[in-house]
Amino acid sequence: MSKITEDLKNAETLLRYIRFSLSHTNFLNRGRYLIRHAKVIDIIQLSRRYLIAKLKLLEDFESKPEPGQFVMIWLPGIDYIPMSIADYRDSELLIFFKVRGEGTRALANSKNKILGVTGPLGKPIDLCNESKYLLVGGGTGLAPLIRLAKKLYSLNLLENVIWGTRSSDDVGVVPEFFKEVTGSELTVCTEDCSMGYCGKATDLVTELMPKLRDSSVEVIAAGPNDMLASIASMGSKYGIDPIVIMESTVKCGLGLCGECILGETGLSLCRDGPAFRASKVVNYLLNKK
Amino acid sequence: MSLEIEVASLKLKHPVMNASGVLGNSPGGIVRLVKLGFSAVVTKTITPEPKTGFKPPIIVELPTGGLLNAVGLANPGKSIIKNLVSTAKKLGIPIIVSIGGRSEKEFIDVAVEAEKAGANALELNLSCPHTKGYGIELGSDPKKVRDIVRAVVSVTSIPVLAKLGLTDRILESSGKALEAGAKGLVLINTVKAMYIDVYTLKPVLTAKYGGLSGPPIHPIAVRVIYDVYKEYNADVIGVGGVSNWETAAEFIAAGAKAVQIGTALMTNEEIVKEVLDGLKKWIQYHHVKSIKELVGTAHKI
Repeated sequence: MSKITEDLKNAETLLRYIRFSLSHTNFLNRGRYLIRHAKVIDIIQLSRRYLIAKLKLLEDFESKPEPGQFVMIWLPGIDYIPMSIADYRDSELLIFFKVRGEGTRALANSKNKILGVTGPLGKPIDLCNESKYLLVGGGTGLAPLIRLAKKLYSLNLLENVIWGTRSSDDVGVVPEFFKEVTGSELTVCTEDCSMGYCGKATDLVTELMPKLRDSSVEVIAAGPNDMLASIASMGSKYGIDPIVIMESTVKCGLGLCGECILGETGLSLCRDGPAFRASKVVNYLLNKK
Repeated sequence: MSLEIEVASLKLKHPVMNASGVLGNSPGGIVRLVKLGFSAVVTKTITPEPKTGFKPPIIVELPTGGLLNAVGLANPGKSIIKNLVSTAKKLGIPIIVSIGGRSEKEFIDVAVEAEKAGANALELNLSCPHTKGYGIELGSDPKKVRDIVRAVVSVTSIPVLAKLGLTDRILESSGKALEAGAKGLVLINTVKAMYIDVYTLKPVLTAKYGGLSGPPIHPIAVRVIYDVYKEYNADVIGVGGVSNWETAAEFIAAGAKAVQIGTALMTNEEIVKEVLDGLKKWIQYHHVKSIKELVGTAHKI
């Protein structure tokens, strides 16, 4: 305060002080949320259910996407949908998805078309270089884990990646694709026991949990809310606090429309998330279940 | 040095509230607005029945600056009001319920519910530029403005604010709103606009048209506030493109007693604190004791 009081003696210096101290954030980030054009260079069917869209950005992002962040994809005249960034390299964006609505259907049929991409949105996941990580994905919950696994594998911090889906038909060449992008193997679980571990991904995590508690392994999970609720309650039972990457309806992606506010926490999925410590959102997840 | 201000009988600890449309559609959204530091919270526009609104994209950033939105008045309907109001009360902050409707009857319907729930004031959305039958179609007709304001004022006892948008007759509409008993005016709403993608040749918003907000509309808002204050010396809340303390101060100098912020939250969640810090220094700069003394000072030449 003394500096300000001193400056007050002179209107000129006060004016300078005001301008210097307060205008710095004014145009910071301007343009960060613009819709950028991208060409869909390939759509690859990995299995009966899962696909990869390969997009080449014609105007690059302002900042390099970090694991945990996502994009909004504009299918012109059709929809605007939130998508995890499965990988990003040399202006090439990989999206791992399944068809479940008009928007994803349009994306699956968009080869050679121009789309819009906004991002990267959300907060990067805070990784600690001291621990090893176990990643758990359910269905399209694998999408945000791909880029994360790639980073952790390169840092030699990856313990294992567990992916659960319904049946072997869904698996197809997903593990091969996963290995090609990340370098890591994928532990597959199927609910109908037709391949890999017999049961849900969370069942396998339950088996591993007592061992995890004794080592310093961190758990990061992504998938539907009920799966994340199980992971979160399991975490509190064993005294660990997993990171959960959440899914929800995101409409604007800018933290303004309020559509993705997580219950009474006041947390915004698109702004503060989509990755949260389970302890912060466990009540919300259990209420939703 | 004081930032306290009274506008339309609302006592505020400082002049910065949120603009309707951002976050105020759920109790969690109200919690978030309070954390952002606003002195009062304004709900999203509430209609009697729930509205799903338009399909995304509903809000996009523009290459020429600012945002274009057509949310389509998406809201959970009047049943949410008691939860929104009780959340604000629990957090000790005044709450203004924004109301949308197609007729006097619909405005009254929501207004009564809001007063019953304990809202501190009502903001009548007479200016939404993108949803047919609501908003600007009413606000551009001074007679309709008068009738709706009068109808709401006659059934409620809390302060009624009229939120008006850019039309050729905004001065006249402002006058009619005041004549009908509005305690204050909220100027201005977003401005009807359009954004076309030249590669795909599609309008970007699903609704095609939207409301332009942010820095591009700020000078328009300054002009409207200046004219309305000059004509009626009314209680005005300025809104449109406030993105730092200077743009807020400009509204106050033009005649606004308070300001609302929406678009700027996209890039800066510290905006309220920054505006307040700047306004405190602005008070010192002009050698006055309170922000009240600076309201309308641009007219005293």
